[in-house]
Amino acid sequence: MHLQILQVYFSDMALCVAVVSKENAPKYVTSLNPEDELQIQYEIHSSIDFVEEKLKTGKKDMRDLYLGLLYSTEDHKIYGYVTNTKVKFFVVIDSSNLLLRDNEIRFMFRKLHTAYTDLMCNPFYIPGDYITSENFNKVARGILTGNS
Amino acid sequence: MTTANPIGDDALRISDHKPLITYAGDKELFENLKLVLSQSLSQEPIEWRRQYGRPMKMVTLSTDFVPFNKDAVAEQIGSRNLVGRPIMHTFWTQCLDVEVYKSLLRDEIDKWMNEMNKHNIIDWVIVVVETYDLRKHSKLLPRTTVFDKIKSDFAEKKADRCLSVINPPKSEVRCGSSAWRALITNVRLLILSAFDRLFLKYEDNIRNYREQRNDPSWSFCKYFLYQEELAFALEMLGIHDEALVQYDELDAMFTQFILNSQVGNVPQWLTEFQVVLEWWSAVLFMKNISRKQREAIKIRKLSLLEFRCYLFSRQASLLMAASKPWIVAERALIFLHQAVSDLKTLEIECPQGSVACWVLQCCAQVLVICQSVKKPEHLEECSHHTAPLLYYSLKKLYELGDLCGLLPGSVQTSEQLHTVQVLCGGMQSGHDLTTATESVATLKTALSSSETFSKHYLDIAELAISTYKHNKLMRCAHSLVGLELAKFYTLSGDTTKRTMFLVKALKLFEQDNWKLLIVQTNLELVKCFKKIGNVDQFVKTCLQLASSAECNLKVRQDHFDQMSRMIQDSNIECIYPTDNVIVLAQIDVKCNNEESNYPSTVSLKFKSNLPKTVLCPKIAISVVIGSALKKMKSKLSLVKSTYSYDINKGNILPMTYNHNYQQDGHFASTGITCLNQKSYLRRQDSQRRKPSMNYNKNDYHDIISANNVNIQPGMNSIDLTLNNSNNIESGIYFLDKLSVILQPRLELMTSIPFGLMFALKNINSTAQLVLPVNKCLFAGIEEMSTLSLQFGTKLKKIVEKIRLHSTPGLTFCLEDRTEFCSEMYVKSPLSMNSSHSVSLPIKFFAQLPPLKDHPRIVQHKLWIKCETSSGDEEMICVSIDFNLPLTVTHRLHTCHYRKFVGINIACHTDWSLALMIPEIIGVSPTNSVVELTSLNPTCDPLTCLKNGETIGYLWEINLSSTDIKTVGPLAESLKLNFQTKYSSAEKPNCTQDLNFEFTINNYKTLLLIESGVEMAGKSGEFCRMNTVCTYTANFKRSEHSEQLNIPQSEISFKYEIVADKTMWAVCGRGSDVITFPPNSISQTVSVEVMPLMSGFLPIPTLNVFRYFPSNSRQNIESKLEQFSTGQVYDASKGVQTHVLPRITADTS
Repeated sequence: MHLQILQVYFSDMALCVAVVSKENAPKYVTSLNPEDELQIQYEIHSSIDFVEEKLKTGKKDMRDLYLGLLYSTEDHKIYGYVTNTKVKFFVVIDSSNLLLRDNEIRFMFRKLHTAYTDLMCNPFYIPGDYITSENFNKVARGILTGNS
Repeated sequence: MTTANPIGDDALRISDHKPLITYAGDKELFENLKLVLSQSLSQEPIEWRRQYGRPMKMVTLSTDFVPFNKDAVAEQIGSRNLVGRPIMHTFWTQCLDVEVYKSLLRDEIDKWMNEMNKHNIIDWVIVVVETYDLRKHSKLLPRTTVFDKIKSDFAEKKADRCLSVINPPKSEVRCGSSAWRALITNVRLLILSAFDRLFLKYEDNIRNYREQRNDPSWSFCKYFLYQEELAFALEMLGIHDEALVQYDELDAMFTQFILNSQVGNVPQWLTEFQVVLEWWSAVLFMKNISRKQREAIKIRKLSLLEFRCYLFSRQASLLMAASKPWIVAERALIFLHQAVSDLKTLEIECPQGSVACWVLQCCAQVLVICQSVKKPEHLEECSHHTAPLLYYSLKKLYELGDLCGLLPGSVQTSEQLHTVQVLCGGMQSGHDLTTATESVATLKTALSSSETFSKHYLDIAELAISTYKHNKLMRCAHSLVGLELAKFYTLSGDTTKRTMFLVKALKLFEQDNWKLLIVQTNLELVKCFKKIGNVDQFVKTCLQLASSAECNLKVRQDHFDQMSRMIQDSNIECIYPTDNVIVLAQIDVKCNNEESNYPSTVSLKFKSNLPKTVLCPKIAISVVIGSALKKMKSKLSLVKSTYSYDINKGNILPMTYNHNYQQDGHFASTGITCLNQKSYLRRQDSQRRKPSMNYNKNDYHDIISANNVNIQPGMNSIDLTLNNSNNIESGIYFLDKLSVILQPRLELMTSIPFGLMFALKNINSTAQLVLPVNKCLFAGIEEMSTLSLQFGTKLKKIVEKIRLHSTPGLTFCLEDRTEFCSEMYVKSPLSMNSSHSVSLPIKFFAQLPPLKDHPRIVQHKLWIKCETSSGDEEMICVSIDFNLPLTVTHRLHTCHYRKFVGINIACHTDWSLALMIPEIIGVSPTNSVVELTSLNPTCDPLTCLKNGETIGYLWEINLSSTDIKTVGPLAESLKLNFQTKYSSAEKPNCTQDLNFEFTINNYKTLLLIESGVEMAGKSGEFCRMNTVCTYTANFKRSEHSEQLNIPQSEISFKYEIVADKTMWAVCGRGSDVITFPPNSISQTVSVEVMPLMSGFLPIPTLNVFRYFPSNSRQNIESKLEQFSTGQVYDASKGVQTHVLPRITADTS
């Protein structure tokens, strides 16, 4: 069915972007609203369970790194993405933000993955360190605000 | 609203409906065929191929038949009702007679066809049933049949709508005949194509209606019912998934409308949903569709939640029908979130708690459905989705409990009681509550009292946590539900359980290293530990919090202070890993002493994460011995003088060049390679947990330490020093653990990275005499030297006392003293220089040993015993060699019967030795019988000797002949003492006595020999070469014996002529025994010898031995005995004789 989507402009795209190492430790977390960060961190941490479940059960198409919706609450929806090296990306969006379709989320992850790959290529970055790269931060903040 | 209406009227059960087919014509005939036809149609599924490339579906058609009613048809066609409308119209006849057809049947069909045409119905079929009577049947085929006629009259262009069949009941054999099968197939296809056409047309209508949505009068509710018909029809055909699609589309559209309303696009119909919420009962699983509810939708009297419920209920029932119950569970959460979100978006006024009640009911119902699933694999699948629902319920329940004052520890106010009543009231709905009664009842019970609420809450929590655990979602179980429970137990005051859940969650956070969450949990835990009085954990947690960068400074300081107070108040000894409190950055081991590799300082660089400056009583590093002394010598050289560790360099891989060579030695390629790559490539997954720290202190736990150190927040650099090392065995030591005592009874410990080491070599004290080059010490004279003491490791501290003592014969004294002794104390303070050594100028005097037959060196030892104030002592032994300054030898000289004693003194000193006039005296009793006459010059009182020079003295021994008889035996052996004084020529005053005692035995001359060679027979002539001569030896016994009146006894000698064989040829007997009979004094022996060469030849000499003849009676064998010096005097010794050359032929 082709329902015309009314043009609604949300200034915010995502609430939080997080990178979690293969050992499941947070390597980068940035949130739109600092006051939400704690709650969102609890949720992201729990979402790791779902990532692991998906990776374990093998239901997932291994070629597709995008894991889809992992977890949702009344307020948040958490989407996941896992690289071949088991580095996990999380994007948290507002539950009421229905404008973001799967494709947009996938696009966010792709951008994030590209930025992450660039970061890894930087010889001065020690893999496993907390990510403090300005470029990466710029990309992640761009995903939060939708100004990228 | 009440539930008074009987369900039957209200219920719409799609499963009761089947596609309707009307029949007309020969009704009696059809009644007979109806059952067979219906069975045949539903016997097998048929492919439904649809237009526009829609997916093909397999459909099993089960149909209902109704008689054709032209009024009903008109009404049904006009309505939008898809379910009750006949899809196919049939006309049945068994007329075979053409005439009958022409007269009656054609009109009847025509009339029926007119009805069809009137309503534009094209889905019709005329069936001619032929009943053959085989007996009557003529063999001739009729020229034209009724079937042909009908075909030509009504279905000229639609031949497939006119079917002929042989009546199967009457000829059962042919029931499966091709004609019947063709009929069934055709009918099926026609029915499906009729549906296809109908749906297409209907969808067109729906689309058209949808296009008008911007029309103010347009209503989604109307549209909903419109499209739902399509879903009904699809469900009727058994195509549940497509029916579901219809609902999903409606769901999405509704959601989109609500979403759009956010930006002010609120259509009229939507405003009617925005009324205040009055009822919050939830019915999710209706067996039947409520016509009343549909009616309510139509007249827009359904609340948003009711509408949502209706929609979900339809979706759920379709999913259940397709036996996918887990999808119901999966969708439930999205549905609930969406509904709640819709309420917010539409700003619908809901009484407080109403939404929670609604959510709880929904969850409960979904859970009931999931629990009723029979298939185990479905049940497993469901459990994945029920856990989040349970967790959602838990949150909502807490919300309700909070609202109604039902949480533990709170007292319900009357206002809250009223709220409970309102909420319970709102759950009673007029709808069919049969499936919902249980959930409502449960909720009402839960809300009735605090106890029931707690029980219900804990039940749900238990279920949620166990479901998550069952699904192996530990983070969800312990972090989500566990923390909720911890919150609940906080209120109920059950600190133990609260702690338990918090600790479980903390473990997870720590395992994954989520710092913010760790801090948050720790903040809670601190309160718990304080409450239950677990000091150890309290202090540990406080410490962690105080050093967490995630906390603000005030919180950190506060916890640090709390911790300090707690430690002061309690008497628990706390040891913790340094973890994040003190982070080591760099360690440098510096050894400033090259020889001993003492790590005199260990520089420590670390980061303190404590919130304030701490005065730390002690920082210490413990060491472990890596290699004991025995093995050390070879390894010691490997130990570098400095070692350092830098945490920042820890991640750098040790890369080296890797050159590859071909077999022939040519260079092939080069690259870089990582040393010890295995340790870097090792999987780390399984070693995530750090091994637990061993807090045992070893013997060397505080060997390297610093006291009273101020630790500031941030980077600190501290130097630790090695102390008390003299108690440690030598060896290689590795730095083991760092211990930081933050305050009394609070110690932090961490292991130091392996590889930092130092070698400790204990040095014993040494002592040596310092002598100038090429100088040696001499005995028998005062010698100056310096004793140099080098104190070893143990004696580095102040040496209090030194005791010196020596072997007998060696005496010494300090330079400034004069009393020589063999034991002495040197008292402190000793002027010790920086290299821990002491020099003692010391004077030695080693006594001259008895000079006779003595080696030229006298060995002495000096023991040095050092004592420190702390009671340590160490003994050092120094060997000192003294050379003899001079050697004295004596010799007996004889001249016939006279005896002389000669003394030779040889000097070995490198300085001049001054000798006084010597004297020799007989030692008693010799002095009484012997007189010694000095034959030495007496002019010079002092004789100086230089190195290598020898001086000789001579005395004649005169036996005092006065009293020979008494003195006789005494004179057999003479004991003499040579005495003189000597001194260094430079210090003539410091004279030392020199005594040399010696004994002379058997010195008297017993035998005097005179020998000579003469020409045989021609006495007085010179001997001539090669001519026989006579060697004559005259032996003469001592005269003295006569004088002494000793009876001359028989005595025998043996002589041997010793001659150079090149000079002399002994022709006679070369040896013989001579016996002196008693009183015989002399005897002569003559032997023929021949000189072999001419010139002055030394005459042959004689060796004389005393001979004791054999005595067979006494069984004594003959034996020879040598004379001692002086007993035989050879007067002819050294005599030469002149031998003339042979007389040559010329001369003769």
